Amino acid sequence: MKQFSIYKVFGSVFLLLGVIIFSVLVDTQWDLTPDKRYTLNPLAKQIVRSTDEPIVITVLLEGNVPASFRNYRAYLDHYLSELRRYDRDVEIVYKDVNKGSPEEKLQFRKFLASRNVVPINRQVSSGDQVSQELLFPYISVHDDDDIIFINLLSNQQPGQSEEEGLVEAQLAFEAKLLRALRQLSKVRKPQVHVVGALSQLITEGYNRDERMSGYEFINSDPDLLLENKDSVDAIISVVKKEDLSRAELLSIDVVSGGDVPMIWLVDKTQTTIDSLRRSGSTMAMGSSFQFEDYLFRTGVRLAPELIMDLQSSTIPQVVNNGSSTEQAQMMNFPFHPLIMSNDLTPLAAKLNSPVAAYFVSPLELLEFPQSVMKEVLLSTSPYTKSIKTPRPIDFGFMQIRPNPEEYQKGPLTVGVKVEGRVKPYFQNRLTEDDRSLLSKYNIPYTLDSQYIKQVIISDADMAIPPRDKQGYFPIGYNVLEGRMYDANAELISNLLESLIDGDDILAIAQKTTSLSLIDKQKFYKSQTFYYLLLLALPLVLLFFSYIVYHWLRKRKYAV
Amino acid sequence: MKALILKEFKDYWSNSFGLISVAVLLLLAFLFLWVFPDSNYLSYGLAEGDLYFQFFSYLLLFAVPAYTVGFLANEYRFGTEELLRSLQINWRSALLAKFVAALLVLLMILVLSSTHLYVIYKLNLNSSTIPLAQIIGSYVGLIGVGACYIAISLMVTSFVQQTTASFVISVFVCFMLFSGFNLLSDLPVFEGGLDFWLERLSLSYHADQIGRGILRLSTLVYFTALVIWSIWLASFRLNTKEV
Repeated sequence: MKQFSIYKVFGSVFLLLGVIIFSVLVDTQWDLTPDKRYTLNPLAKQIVRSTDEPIVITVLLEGNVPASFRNYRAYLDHYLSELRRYDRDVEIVYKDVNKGSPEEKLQFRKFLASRNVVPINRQVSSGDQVSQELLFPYISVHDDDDIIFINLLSNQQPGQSEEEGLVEAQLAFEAKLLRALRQLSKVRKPQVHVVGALSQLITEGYNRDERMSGYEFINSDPDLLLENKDSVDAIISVVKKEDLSRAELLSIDVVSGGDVPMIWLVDKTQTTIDSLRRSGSTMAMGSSFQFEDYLFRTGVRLAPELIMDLQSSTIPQVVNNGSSTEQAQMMNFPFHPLIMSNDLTPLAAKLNSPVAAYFVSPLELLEFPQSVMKEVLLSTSPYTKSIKTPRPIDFGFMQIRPNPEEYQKGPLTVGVKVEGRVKPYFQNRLTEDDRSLLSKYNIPYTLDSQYIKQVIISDADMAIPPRDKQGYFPIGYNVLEGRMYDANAELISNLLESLIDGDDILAIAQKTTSLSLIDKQKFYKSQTFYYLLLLALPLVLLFFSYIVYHWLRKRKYAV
Repeated sequence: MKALILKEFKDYWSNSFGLISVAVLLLLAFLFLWVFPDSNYLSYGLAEGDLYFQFFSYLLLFAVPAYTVGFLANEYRFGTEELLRSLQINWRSALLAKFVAALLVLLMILVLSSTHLYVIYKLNLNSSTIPLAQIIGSYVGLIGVGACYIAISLMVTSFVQQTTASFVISVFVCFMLFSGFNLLSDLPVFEGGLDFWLERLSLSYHADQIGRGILRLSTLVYFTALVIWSIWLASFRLNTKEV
């Protein structure tokens, strides 16, 4: 008889461990989900590879999380562990913000608050106990020099359930993380020069906004732009009332003609809701700006018209409800259209909500020049009409219900990307002042054709952070409605990302998922049927098989 | 071999224990997945099979040892162990037959509980198509988890003859294998180093992966190696046991 040998047992345990460890070393995975949601994107691998320093990713969504967050949390765990499996220089840390001594917690929460990391309050249950807990749905990504916080949630849209918001947020996570990793891998933040009369206002507002933290906005002028010609990553020009000076236009022409992308946010008509509300009526005047001539050579023309759209944001209006009392009521204001992005292009796609725009003119796309490719990025709803300017406008039209028959002009283009070769604008037009400005920085004016990559949007207000006596509001805040339109800031940030870094991450943000919600209404409607299917049917099958088996057995062995 | 498997399977159904234990299991699954707050599908919100597969990985942790220890412990109890020895039946074949019979019981439980998956995908808000590849993959994984529990229970029973003690130790070993390594990996001392390996030695890591529809080579190797090792150890023990 063989002897039981403990050495043999230990040997077999080591062999077992060896086999398991070897299989982990040569591991490969088959992602069987229809949307391949657990497979690391090649771009993610490429970005992680490009980071030189070790990266620490800290998950703050720790501890007792509500049931609805579990799938997202598990997805996060899997994604991050895959990232670590791919690159061992990535360290994943889990931190429960609600744990630790009161001093530690307070200090850490203060630090988080200073970085605009705000908690949410959720009901969580642990065993029989139900309690309210502060959750920090964030992760931080940091190397030795910099730390970036990523909000794991998306802004919940009106009427959207928490579950729907979480599915959307889960979809957006990978793009957010890759953006942060790419930002860390850069030696410096991309520099965006803001040119025009409103540059100071824009620069201050954008540099303060966490959503724009990936870029450094510089309040620029012709001298600064030309002096730093080689370090400029993008230019933004917002033109509202004041035209660009000749020097500003020349510096833009020289720098953007040198393959530096640019965003134009321009108002053709000088009409504001403030002037209309102050006096009850105003004259919608079209202006003729010098820069329009500059844009015209790219085959884009700002029509001297104003768009009226049935899909619009609202303004408060005093209405008489039939009695002697007057009430303020929010009413749709067709001059403030809600703009939709073209989902076919990653450049402006996947905005969470429509972009709020204010007194917008349509853009006309011309057939020439053939060398410039034009891509529509933003357009209105199909229910539009346009009015020619100059023309007086007042609130009179709001007294009567809009007739949909009048709003049949279809979607009007309000944002376009132009890319291609054009003639230099100042060719044969250089004055002595122009020459002396350029010679100051030793820049020869090129006579060859320029390659331009520009986005033109026919509304300035959508990108200007609103301001009142107390200070700035964030980009996209609609003061009249007291509501945030996140898509306004997302649009600018998407445009900058696409123009500077390309569309690769935006394309990831566009992916769809097979993750779907449970139809609770359907369940509650036929609850008894589902209960029968879930419990009664398996039990009946089980007992029936048991009875049949024993009956057959009894019959077989019956004498 | 076929006769041995059939004998074991029939033995399981010959008394009401088998029937009642499966019925209780189905009732528990129903309560946890559809009735009890916080753990149910309606709180979870997603029409995904992962919750079902993860829950069953836990449920089987107790259920599988409960019925598997009986397969071997009954041999000691009724003295048929001696009979097996005298019949010159290889212990490895006997253990394999018990393993397959226990696996058949597991398959039956999974078939009966598949109505949960049907309802989950029927309640999908966006589409009624069932991701077959994902479900089959997840079932393969769940059967793998169950097979590990069976093999470990048989292995423990080969060392411990008393049924209750064997059940308690089997559950403990299965639990340690399921969650023990994972809990160890959370200790700060292992952070950024050994935690990676400890996590991969844990059965819960593999169960979680396959529950989501991710099939790994390391998961398949893990299940196969663990089952082969446990059966080998049990047969080694029984072959060297002095009567």
